[in-house]
Amino acid sequence: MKVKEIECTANVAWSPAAQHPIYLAAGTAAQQLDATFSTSASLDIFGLDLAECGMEMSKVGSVQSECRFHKLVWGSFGMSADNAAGTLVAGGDNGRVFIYDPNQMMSGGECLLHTLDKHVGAVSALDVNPFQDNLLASGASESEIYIWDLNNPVNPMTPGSKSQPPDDVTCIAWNQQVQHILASTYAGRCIVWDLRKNEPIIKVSDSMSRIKSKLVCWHPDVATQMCLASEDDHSPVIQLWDLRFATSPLKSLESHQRGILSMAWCPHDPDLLLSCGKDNRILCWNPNTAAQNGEVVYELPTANQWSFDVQWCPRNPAVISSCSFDGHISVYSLMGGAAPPKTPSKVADAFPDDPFAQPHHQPLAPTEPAPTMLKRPPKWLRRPVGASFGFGGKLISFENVKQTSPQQAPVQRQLHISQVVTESDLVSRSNQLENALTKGQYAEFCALKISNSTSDAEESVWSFLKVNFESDPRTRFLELLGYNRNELSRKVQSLTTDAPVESNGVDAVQLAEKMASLKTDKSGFLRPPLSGSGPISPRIDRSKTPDSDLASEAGGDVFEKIAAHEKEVERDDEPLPIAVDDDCDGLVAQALLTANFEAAVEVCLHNDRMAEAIILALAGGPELLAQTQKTFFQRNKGNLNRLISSVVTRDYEHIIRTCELENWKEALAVVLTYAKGEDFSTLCTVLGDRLSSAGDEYTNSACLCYICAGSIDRLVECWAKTTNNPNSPDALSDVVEKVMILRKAVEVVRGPNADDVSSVLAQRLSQYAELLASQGCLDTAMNYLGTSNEMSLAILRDRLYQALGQAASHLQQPPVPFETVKVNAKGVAPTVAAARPQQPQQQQQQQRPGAPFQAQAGSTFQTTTTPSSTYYAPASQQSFPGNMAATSTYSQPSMFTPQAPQYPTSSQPAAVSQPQIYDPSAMRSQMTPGAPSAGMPAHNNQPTSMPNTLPKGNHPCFHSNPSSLSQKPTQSYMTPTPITQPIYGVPQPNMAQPPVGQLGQVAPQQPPADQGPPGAPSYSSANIYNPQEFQQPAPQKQYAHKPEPPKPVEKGPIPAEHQVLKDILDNLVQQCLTKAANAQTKRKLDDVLRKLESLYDKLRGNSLSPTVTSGLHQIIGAIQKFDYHSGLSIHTQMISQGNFSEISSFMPGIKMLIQTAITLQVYVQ
Amino acid sequence: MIHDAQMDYYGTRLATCSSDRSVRIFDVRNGQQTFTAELKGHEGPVWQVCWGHPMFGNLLATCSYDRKVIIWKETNGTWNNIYEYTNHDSSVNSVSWAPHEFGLMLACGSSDGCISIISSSGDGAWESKKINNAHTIGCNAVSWSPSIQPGALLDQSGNQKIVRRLVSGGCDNLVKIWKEDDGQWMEEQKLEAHHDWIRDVAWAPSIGLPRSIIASCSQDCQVIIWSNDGTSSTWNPKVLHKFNDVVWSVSWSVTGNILAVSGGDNKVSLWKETLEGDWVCVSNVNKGQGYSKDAHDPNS
Repeated sequence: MKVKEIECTANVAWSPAAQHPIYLAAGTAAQQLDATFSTSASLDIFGLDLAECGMEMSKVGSVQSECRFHKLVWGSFGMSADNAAGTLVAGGDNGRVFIYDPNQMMSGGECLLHTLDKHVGAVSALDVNPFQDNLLASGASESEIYIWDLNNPVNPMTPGSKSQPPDDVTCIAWNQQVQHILASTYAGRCIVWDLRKNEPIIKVSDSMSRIKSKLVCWHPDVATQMCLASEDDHSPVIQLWDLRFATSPLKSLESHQRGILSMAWCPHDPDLLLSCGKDNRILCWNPNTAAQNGEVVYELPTANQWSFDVQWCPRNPAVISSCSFDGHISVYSLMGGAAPPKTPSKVADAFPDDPFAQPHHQPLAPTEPAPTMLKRPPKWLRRPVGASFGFGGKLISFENVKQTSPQQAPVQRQLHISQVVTESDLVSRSNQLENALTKGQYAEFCALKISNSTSDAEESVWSFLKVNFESDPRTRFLELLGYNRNELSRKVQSLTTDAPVESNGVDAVQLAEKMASLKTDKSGFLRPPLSGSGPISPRIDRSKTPDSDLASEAGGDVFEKIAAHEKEVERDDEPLPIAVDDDCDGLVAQALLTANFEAAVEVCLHNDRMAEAIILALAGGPELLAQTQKTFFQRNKGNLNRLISSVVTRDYEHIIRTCELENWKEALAVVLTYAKGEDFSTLCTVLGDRLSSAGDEYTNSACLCYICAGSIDRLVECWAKTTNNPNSPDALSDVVEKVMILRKAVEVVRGPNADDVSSVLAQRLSQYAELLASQGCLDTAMNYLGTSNEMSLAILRDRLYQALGQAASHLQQPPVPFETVKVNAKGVAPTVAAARPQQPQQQQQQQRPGAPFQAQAGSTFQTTTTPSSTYYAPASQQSFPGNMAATSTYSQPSMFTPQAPQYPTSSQPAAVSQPQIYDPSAMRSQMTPGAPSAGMPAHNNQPTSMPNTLPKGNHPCFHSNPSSLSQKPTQSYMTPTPITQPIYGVPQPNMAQPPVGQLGQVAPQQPPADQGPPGAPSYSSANIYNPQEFQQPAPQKQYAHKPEPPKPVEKGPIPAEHQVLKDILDNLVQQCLTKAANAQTKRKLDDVLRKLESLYDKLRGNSLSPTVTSGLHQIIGAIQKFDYHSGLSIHTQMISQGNFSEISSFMPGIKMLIQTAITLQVYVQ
Repeated sequence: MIHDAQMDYYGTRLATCSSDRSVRIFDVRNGQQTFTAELKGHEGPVWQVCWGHPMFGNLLATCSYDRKVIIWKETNGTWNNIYEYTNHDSSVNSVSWAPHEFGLMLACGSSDGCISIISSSGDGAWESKKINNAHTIGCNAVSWSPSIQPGALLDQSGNQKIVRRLVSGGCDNLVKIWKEDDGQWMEEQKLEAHHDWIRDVAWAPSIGLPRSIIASCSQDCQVIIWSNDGTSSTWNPKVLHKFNDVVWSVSWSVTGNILAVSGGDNKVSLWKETLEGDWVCVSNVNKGQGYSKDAHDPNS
């Protein structure tokens, strides 16, 4: 689906992946002119705003240019700086490379950072190293390739000497896995460079010469794979190569009808490769399928003319760009979306109920959907991991374990169901509470809470709760409030003894004072006089505790004393004159005489004689008393009197409603003492309400009142106010614990309570239950739901019941809290009924057979067996006139001879006794191109043990363990320093060496394959791109080890004492040659001669140790005695004892010579 | 390759879907796992599964790369395809049933950039509404707002007036909130903060607070928590964390207080908001190796 379009003929470059937002740079294309023949050129930057629906892209920066462009690249160099957008590099028609700062370009500043004027022809190849974004490779005509350091792009390096013949460099590409490998294409050939070596390491070309590779791109993940594309109309193919098997391409992607102009491998999914060609098509391939001619997974619907460029947007994997010769830059989405709506069968739609149309779905099924989208979903659409929550704190997580080996093992899929417990405190507290509740250990639970409480308030609350489960809770409440009867009686006693009543009358003030000293304690100071009116506080069984008895006695004492005093006064007045005057006394007396207490009291009251009035009222009956008390309190409005008034009139509510809040304890005490059952909780609640509405400082007190009242709902409401975060699990635990305990207490006192919980409490309990449920405590959660019909609880109950399954079978199934809707399947024929109950799978991890295309992921070519040198033998015969001397700077060319058969000797000295392995002629025949390799099959069988000696792991060569190649670069590739050194510094031999440990193991034992000097016959036929020839630098290395100068052309004489060796051996060879019957033996003997030449050279150079020379003389002695077997055993002894590297170049030759002599029955003296 | 695994409303069944085009149902009651059914019908990798609310029976919606959405219904142990929605032009990446209070309603997000909302009264006829070009290049995820919305108006009978909203995320790096207005779906908010594709969005269940929360995760390795205070129309982004790999999915716990984040590095982490409003990681889930401190694998 085309999403954006720009009208211009230009080469483009996407902003790098790290850049947000996404930009597209477009530089006027040099390849063509438009109808105006204008040659002006500019470089523009466009913004890609996918949020905008239109096709336009806004131009956000532009600069005029002196020339037109062949190639643009936009690298991330410099992006680490603030607000930087990387570096834009443009290859000009005039041979210049322009380096721009895109940020400056967009802000209109001076954006041209550098102009690199080094190339001769048009610069049409550019690439930025994916590992070191400061490294820019550029290619132009005359085979010129330069590597620039963008930090200081002044003196470029070359990756090696120029490829000959000089041709235009059409494409260069850095390897995506190994940072120092660079591929380049010239007209028709592709050369891969190793920058550490500063030399070309392989030339890729099809021996059938079917394609002229114009373009190259590397596999995003597999280091050794690349695609080459041909512009040639006669062979418009893309070839996939693996450099490990560089004799022929792995496959050819053939679908284009005309030459391919551009190609791009998706950086996000190696299964997607784009190409466009002169046939106007833009194809997307999967180069990794088994299909030999390549599988086209998508063809872009494009109406434009030839596209000469396609590119993936590095940041947005579904977006690609194409540039066409008809003057358009198009941005497409690969995700489809523009397909015309499907119109299946209009007839069938028109008659949906037509019974004859029943099977219509069947013919529709097999029709292949038009490829309006990728055949298979791209990698970036395939969600590999996920985690989702289920009811009850279950977490379902799945992952698709990445392949750890290139073997095609099925992807491991794992799915886990886990219980997430984030509130472990809540869960443990809940368990504690459950335990207490089921065992009925309420008081113990409270005691535990008291001992664990961190605040006074908390402690007092739990103390109050605990009291509920003790005997005589009211008394204990009072004690908790600070009113202990024992203490009170003590105080009263001390008061009465210290200040005995002496006055002759009992006046109200005195009485009041005494009452005041009693404070609000009930202790019966009014009780005896009121005994006739029944117990005021029936809920307090005074007889039960000694304390209360004492207290009441003490209280009684006081009164008795008062009364006694009164009587005393009266009795002392003997004889008793009864006044009958009309004054006060007289009137009272008269009234008394007629038992008219009302009148007497009235008179007393009138004369303000309160004490007499009350005493008289006592005698006059409860009504009178009450009336008198009322009058008394009306006249005496002191605070104490109000209290007394309330108590006496049982108007406790008055106290509760009017008391100072700081005296809440006293008020509560009054209620505790006097209030009757039905009033008690109401009064406590009223007090609690006052307190809780008074503000934060009283909320805890209010809670205590509610606890006394057993008022659960209010407690919850009040608690909600005191708690900062009432929804926190801790707070919920707090309140639920209290509520549950209080509930039990209320049950104890009042019996089971079937009251519905209020909505406030229901909400809390629901929250608590939800929390418990979310932690997986499903059964406990169920217990907290009660029977409320509250919607939220009903929903939870239903869920818990269903989730518990059998565990909840003892419970009655709760009603389903929602109306069910029957969903019908009308109009759709039941196509699938796939429920096939199978054997239960109990395992936690479900593994299923891999999806078909999963199994295909990765290259089938990674399953290599033991490497064989035959892979390399038929490499291109074309000689490469590069200077071989360049290799001498690398002391470790052995990197490119991984399976050279010389190695086994190092790890298996015992194997030396097996002659055929080391038969030099066999080796030669194997290694020489075109030589029949069947001559010594034993050789091929042996190398199985060789890989043991090969450097593995971080070895920076292509031939190391194949499995490491498909993986991300190991750290040795990531370390940025090495690559620059061959470029900017003197080449350091050790840079190319494998780790020291491996080097030490391998290098000294390396036998020189050939002792011949450069220019010797073995070199003359050398093709440096034939990997087998890379063994040849070995002797040079040996020269380096022994500081012997390169050999002069004229060889010096062999020391006289050793001349006999040469004479005898040469003689023997000549004798053998004359008797040799077949060509193979002759070739062997040629090889023997070559090896012997190595010996003679060493003899000339006096480089052999005395042990070796004496051993050689012994062998010669044995030969002269025709005792070849002794000679061979001396030979064996020498090899097992001697310095192998010293003698390995010629000893196989001697052995082969002796064996040949045995076979041919040749003898010399 | 498994692409999704979801438990049903009661947590008794598990549905998984895979690249192999299959959808599988497991009974997971009481810690057991029993394979009960395989639903075949998709012709491409199946991306997501979504269980319907039980008031509609046992419904499962699945979506696939084959551009189809299939609604499956189980009756007496047999699963049937009861509806196929085929009106998308590209891969359908996400399906999500609306809260049951909204009715039988399913949102589907597709790579063709559109979001479909299909609904039915249950009579077998399905009505669809389509938001065209919701996300250029593709919509990757859809998620519904909870039915109990903070600050929602009450109608005369005291019930909340139903306002249907959903959130979506896509390849245009945007998170968008859509609101149904008079039967039409309108873009209400466009939330910009991510720098790359949105991989998943999840609207948090209401936890009784007057605010709405949406979590989004992205290819840019970030998870962002968007919150709306319930009175204004602004959504404030807060970066939960910048991870080391692509974040593929976010999922809220049923109670809405824990967020599970799943990343390309195969790590699952659990996040929770502190009283101060900061998001903290309460657990790193090490699958297959038991769980760290607070989470454990009951079967390990």
